[in-house]
Parts: sequence; C-alpha cells; structure tokens
Amino acid sequence: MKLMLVVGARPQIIKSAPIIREALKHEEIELQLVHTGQHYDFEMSKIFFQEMELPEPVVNLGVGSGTHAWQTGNMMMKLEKTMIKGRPDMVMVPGDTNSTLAGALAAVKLSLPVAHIESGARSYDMRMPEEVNRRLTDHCSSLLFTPTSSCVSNLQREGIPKQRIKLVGDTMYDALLQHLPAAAKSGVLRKLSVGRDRYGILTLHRPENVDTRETLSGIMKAMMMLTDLTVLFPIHPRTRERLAKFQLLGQLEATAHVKFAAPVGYHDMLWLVKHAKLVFTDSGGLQKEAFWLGTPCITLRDTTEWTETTRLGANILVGSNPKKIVAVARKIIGQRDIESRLQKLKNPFGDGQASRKIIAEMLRRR
Amino acid sequence: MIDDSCMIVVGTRPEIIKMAPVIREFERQALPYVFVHCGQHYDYNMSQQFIEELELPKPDYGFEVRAYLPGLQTGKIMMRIERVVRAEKPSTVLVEGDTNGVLASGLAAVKLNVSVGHVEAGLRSFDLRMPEEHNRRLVDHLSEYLFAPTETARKNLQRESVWGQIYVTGNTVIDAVLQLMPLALEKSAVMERVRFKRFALVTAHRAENVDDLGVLSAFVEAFAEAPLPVVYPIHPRSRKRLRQQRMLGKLARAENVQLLPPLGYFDFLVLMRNCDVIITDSGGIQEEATAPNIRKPVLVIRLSTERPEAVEAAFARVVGVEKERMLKAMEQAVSEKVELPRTSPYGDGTAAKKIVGILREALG
Repeated sequence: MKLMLVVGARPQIIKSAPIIREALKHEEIELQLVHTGQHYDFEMSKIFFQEMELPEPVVNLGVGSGTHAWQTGNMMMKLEKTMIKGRPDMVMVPGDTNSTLAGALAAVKLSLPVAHIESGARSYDMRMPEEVNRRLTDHCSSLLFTPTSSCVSNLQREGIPKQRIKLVGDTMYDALLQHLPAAAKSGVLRKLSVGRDRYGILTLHRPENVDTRETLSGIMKAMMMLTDLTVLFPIHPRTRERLAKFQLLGQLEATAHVKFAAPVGYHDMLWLVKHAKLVFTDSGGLQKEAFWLGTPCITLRDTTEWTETTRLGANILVGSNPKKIVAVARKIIGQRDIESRLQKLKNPFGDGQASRKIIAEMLRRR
Repeated sequence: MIDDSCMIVVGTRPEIIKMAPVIREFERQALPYVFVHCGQHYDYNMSQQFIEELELPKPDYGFEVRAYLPGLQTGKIMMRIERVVRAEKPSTVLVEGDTNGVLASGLAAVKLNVSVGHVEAGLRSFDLRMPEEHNRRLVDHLSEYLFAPTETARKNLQRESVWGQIYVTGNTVIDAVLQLMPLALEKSAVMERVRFKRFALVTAHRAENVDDLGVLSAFVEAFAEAPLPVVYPIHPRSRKRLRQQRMLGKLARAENVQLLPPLGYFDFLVLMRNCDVIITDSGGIQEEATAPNIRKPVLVIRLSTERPEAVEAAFARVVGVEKERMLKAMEQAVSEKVELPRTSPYGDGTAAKKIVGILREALG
C-alpha cells in the first residue's frame, strides 16, 4: 500500500519517527514522506532528521511561514498536486498544526482516506489555532489513532463512530523510549554546566505568551523571583526578539540565576527535562515528556489538551500570573519525594508500542 | 449593535438566495455590514446579474476563483477571504451552506479569532462521499453561532457536541420564497412558454447522477414514459452529458417532455408554483417546495437526503434512481391526492429576523 505521511513542524517529526521506522520494516508499505516546509529553516530541519536517524522526505514543499490561511491554503494547493501525483491509498497526518489540517483537507477533497495520529486531544479553547486544527482533522478522518482513553471519550462525545477510533497509545512515548539511550550520551548537562536537580527548564513559544508585553513580563518576573534554582531558558530567536522589543532582555541577562541557551535538539532536551527539578512550558508535547521522565511540570497556559497529566497531579496549569507561578514552583521544590511519587504513576499513554499497532492496522486494511 | 460590522459571504446561487433575506434584514434595520462574493462560482458576472435580479446591493468585494481542483479552490478562497477579514476587521463572519467557499471562509475567519456564524447549520446526509458533507460538518465545528433550520439539525449538532451556541431559527429559504414570489409572478413570463397545463417539474444535476451512465439512462427513460407531461429546465452539465451519451435526442423528441434552457430564479419559482409534482436531485428545492405559497409534493431522485423534515412532513419521498421505482412513484403522486400540510417544516419565514436578532443580542 502507498502510505503518504505529511509532516511540517518539529513535534510532528518526533511523533512520526517511530511510525516511519516501523513502516520501513514492511516491504508491503511504500512510504511517501512529505514535508510541507511549515518550519521554514531548511538547514535546521535537515539536522533534525539526521538526529532522529530518519530518511529525508521525498518531497519538500517549502511553504514557509505566513498568516494561518495563507500558510494552510498554500499547503493545501501543493499537497493536492503531490497527492494527485503520488496516488497514496491513505494519507496520514500527525498532531495539530496547519500542516495536519492542510493534509487532511487536501486528501478528503480528493476522496482519499485520512488517518489522524494523536487524535482526540482537546483543550476546548477555540482561540488556539491547534484546537481548530485538531477538531477539524478528527471530523474528516476515517481512521483516528488515539493516545489515551480520554481522547477516545472526547471523540465519542462528538459523535464519531466507534469503529473509526483505535486506541493505540502515544507515538511520542514510543519515540521517547527509542531515543532515551542516545539522549543519555548527549553530555548536555556538562555542556551547559547545570547540575542534576538544581535547575528548572523554561520553554516559551506560544503567541499569546510571547506577543503581549504584560504576559511575557509576568512570566519573566516570576523567573527572576525564583532564586531557589537556576532557570535554564533555551530561547527561540523570535522570543529573544520580543524580549528585546519589550525591554525585558537587559534585566534578564543581568539576573545571575537565569541562564539563556540556544535552542536544543531532541536528545539534549530529553536529557535536560529528565534531570530538571521542574519544567516551565507552554508547549503541548513537553507536558507529556516531563510526565514520562518523572519531572513535575508547570504549564504557563490556562488550558491544556493533556488533562491526563493534570488529573494525575504531575502537571499544574498556572497561566502567566507571576505570584502564582512562584508559589506553585516553591511548593513543588519543597516536596522532597515528588519525583519518586511521579515515577510510580500509571502511564495512560500506552506501552510504547503505538507505532507498531498503527502500522499493523494499516496492513490489516490493505 | 454591532459597532464592528458583520461580514456576509456568499459564493453560489443557492447561497445568494438563502442569504438574501438576512441581507434585507440588515438593510431594514440599517445595520452596517460588509458583503463579499468569494468566487466559488467562478462566473462572477452571472452571480452579479443574479444579485441584481434579487434587488440586493452590489458586493463590496467580489472575487473570481478559476480553479478546477477542490484543494486549489479552497486554498485560494481561504487566502483571499483572510485578506478581506484583516482589512475589514469584522466582529463576525456569516456564511451559508456547505460549499468549499463556505469552509474556506470559515477557516480564514476562525484562525484570525473572528467568530463565525453558520446559517443552515446541522444538516447531515451521513454520506461521506459527498464533499459537501465534510464541508458542513467542519464549518459547524468551527462556528460560534449555529443557526439550525430545524430541530433535526439541532439534534445532529448536539450529537456532535459542537463548540458553539445552537439556535433553531427556521430556514431562510422560506423567507426568500415568501418575499420573492410576488416579484416573480410579476416579472416572469415562463408560463407562456410551457406547452402543458398540468406537468411534473424536473431538475437533475448532481454529479453522482448525471455522471453515471446507468442512472442517466434510467432518468431519460423514466421521463419519456412518465404518466404526466414533464418540464425539464436543463442544466448545462446535464445537457453536455446527455449529448455525449447520445440521449439528448430521445429526450427532446419525446412528446411528453419539454426541455427548457437554464432558467432564472423567478421563472423557476413560478414553475414550482404551477406544477403538479416536482422531481429533483437538488437539496434546496426539497425545502422550497414546502413554502406555503408553493406546497408541492417532491420525488427525490437520490439515494439519501439531508432534508428528512420534508420527508417526515409528507412533502418529499426518496425514490432512488431506478426507472421502475421512479415511474411507480410518479403514478402514485398523480393518482393519490395527498393533502399536504399548510405550514412548512422549515419555518414560518422569519428565520432572517431571528438570526439578526440573535446577532444583535450577542454582539451587544
């Protein structure tokens, strides 16, 4: 069978890596890997594929960044051409980016069946473009691979027929297990000179956090107040630019316990999260990775699509209020047994075999 | 209200018909709005003519999107509508129906955090081979205001736990028929051209019917052998198919059949009012036939319908696409005189007023 897998953003490549590896084991599957170019830095993307030990995409559409409709529309047009040429039997789209939705829409409009990976996640916050992408992709997919049982319930609540939903677990967890040995060799703690359990790691990229001065300065104020630990901040160039624009950069650079770093690769990030005391993030995937690595997570948002982690007490939603961030962080730092407690939690995201189950289902439907 | 105005998007003739009562209501209440033609039907001049015929204002923005691939068309409309939304900054974008243009406009708006109102929300055929089924479902899941025409539509939306608010308003098509029939009777001379006093009015244009040779020839035979005369205004697509399959001649020579060129909306309204029975594969006609000033039985020559209300109210029957079944249904329609209800299951003609009232209240 011809299976077209559409990726565009980094997290999608992580989610896809174990599926790609599994698909390559089966001669019956002809894998067509398409990169939309949503993350426009060609070099960065290439390095990332190498780090994940993945074959390079057969097609790179080079769409690049732009407004949502411009980007999604452009991708749709180019994907449509690619699909007409490649004639896949099934189009697979992971996650919740504009590439996900563009891939799904282009496919259903050509009457090609769509399989959605990481289906059923919901934050119920429609102001987030990812929520729109997830919901619409789910509603036009014929095969919905869900990471958890609450994702299954979310889909059933929206009237999606049971026989289309397959609970397989989270392919991001598969990826984590597969890459942890390589991560152990990264030497990143030494490189960045941070000590085990003595630092918190901060990642920020969401427009609602970095594009308004008040929110961004609230989060930064909290980080400056947290003298209890080193705050390691691998910073995206765009976020740095914003900090400079809002005149927050100088202050932060003068704060001894706040440590900037260049963006880090997947292996380094896994190892950094594993040995951090705390994770501060507005990313979706990192909330799960922190959970799997037994590190408490403070999510700098008001909603999450990974309620499994908050329900288990491994992840706390705090928004951007500096006092609240500091109070919650201090409380966690004060709990001596927290890591061993987190490690004992049952993992609702499957057994690390999601990709195998996904490809088995593909072969069954051939 | 509405200090920031609403943006009203149309793209096809049925959308213009069904949005017209909403536009008139905005005009009547002197509320500001931006009127956009998204170019789904690429012949903008034809749409423009139609807009004038309905005595609606000229669109503030009009596009021509020449694209034959659905992804290309959807993508192009998304980009253009996004530009208009960014320029006009409306508080709400109103769309109607289930075309690629509707999905594209809704997506462009919601991604700019502009709320979307979907007129005629909640229709479902549950037939995923129809591209419209995807479009309506997806637009419903990104809309903040869902204007459901009927209780059935509301239930469909509730079953899917849509995120927006559902309001049952009736269908604006009833408003449109009630408003336009007097004008149609005054302007149309179509009855002077019709050879028959009593007749069945036929329309057939859906791709899954006219592109299927077996179905198309069943249609031709059933119409030629029909138990009452047939008046068939023929869509260019169907005419082309019939000619390709060498069936046009047979239909044109049949004494029982009168072919007409494609008609304007007014002519069509008058034909619906004067016929005995309507035979159609269109969705909208199943609703129009229930308007109190038309009130005609409809035989649906399709396998499914997303208008179960017309069936439940005894106006419509889904008869399928086989010759014998179509003929039998026609005979029944002629012989059994069923008393049709006096009211339409699609509302009392006040849908547009309700929709504008809801928007005024919501937007403050």
